[in-house]
Amino acid sequence: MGAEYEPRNGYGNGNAYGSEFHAAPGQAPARTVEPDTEEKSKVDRPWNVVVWNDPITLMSYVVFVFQKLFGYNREKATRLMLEVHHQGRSVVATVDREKGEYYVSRLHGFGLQATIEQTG
Amino acid sequence: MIWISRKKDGGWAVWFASSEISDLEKLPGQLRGVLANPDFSSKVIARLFPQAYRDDPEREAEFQRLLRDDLLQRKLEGVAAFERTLANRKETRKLLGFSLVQVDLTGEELTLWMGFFHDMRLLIGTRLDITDESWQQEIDPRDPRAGEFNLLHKLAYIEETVIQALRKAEKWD
Repeated sequence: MGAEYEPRNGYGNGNAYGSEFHAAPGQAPARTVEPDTEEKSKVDRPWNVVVWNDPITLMSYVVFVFQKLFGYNREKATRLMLEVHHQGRSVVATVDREKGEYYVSRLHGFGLQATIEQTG
Repeated sequence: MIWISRKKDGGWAVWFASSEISDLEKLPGQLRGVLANPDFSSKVIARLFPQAYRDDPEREAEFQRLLRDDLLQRKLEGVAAFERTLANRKETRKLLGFSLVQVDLTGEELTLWMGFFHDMRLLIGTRLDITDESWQQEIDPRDPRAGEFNLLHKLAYIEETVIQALRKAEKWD
């Protein structure tokens, strides 16, 4: 299949997440079903927003940010913070890439070390 | 020391001992100095402007191209807000022998303070190469880094107090 599903550059490409599979002209749609699903799954696989441990940042600050930004309750925010602290990193949200980049930029705004990576 | 209390109008009153003001006044210049000509290969700036994509240089470059400037402006806004509000302080009463100053803040300004103190601690802590272990340890007062190390702890106390005040305002506790 020649179609490119992974845009080189996600920004400014409004169709980055909902890319349609385009069958080659004349091809019977039924034949495209299998590769379509396979290829599409790569594009549609959600993204993890990861927060990394950092010895300078206060634990209470991390909990505050998780509650404020994600609306998590105190228990969930604390559990995620402790995961960051003890395991070095924690997946704090699993979302589409656009939303993930938004969260990462907000987390950076709060001064936390956050990255985005695709699941799977 | 720092005390924070909610005012009837929804704003905040923050008190410090007068003797602490000179230390606090030195902070904005330090952060602004680092941000004025950010050297993105330095570890301090790398910590203040984290990576978003660790394994994808192309997307990382694009992310930074679009968002780094906003982040810089946001940090500078925090510096400016802290400096401006601290300059508007008023001398107030004495408490237990301490001469106190009061700074009045809006909710937004107190949040900017929290970000400013956090950035200051990232700046100092990164410079000191703080680790989980070294953060817990006492530092020898003769160590040349003792001043900055103690400042880091003092700012942690202030930041913690601000966080607890903001938590109360959110009614989370």
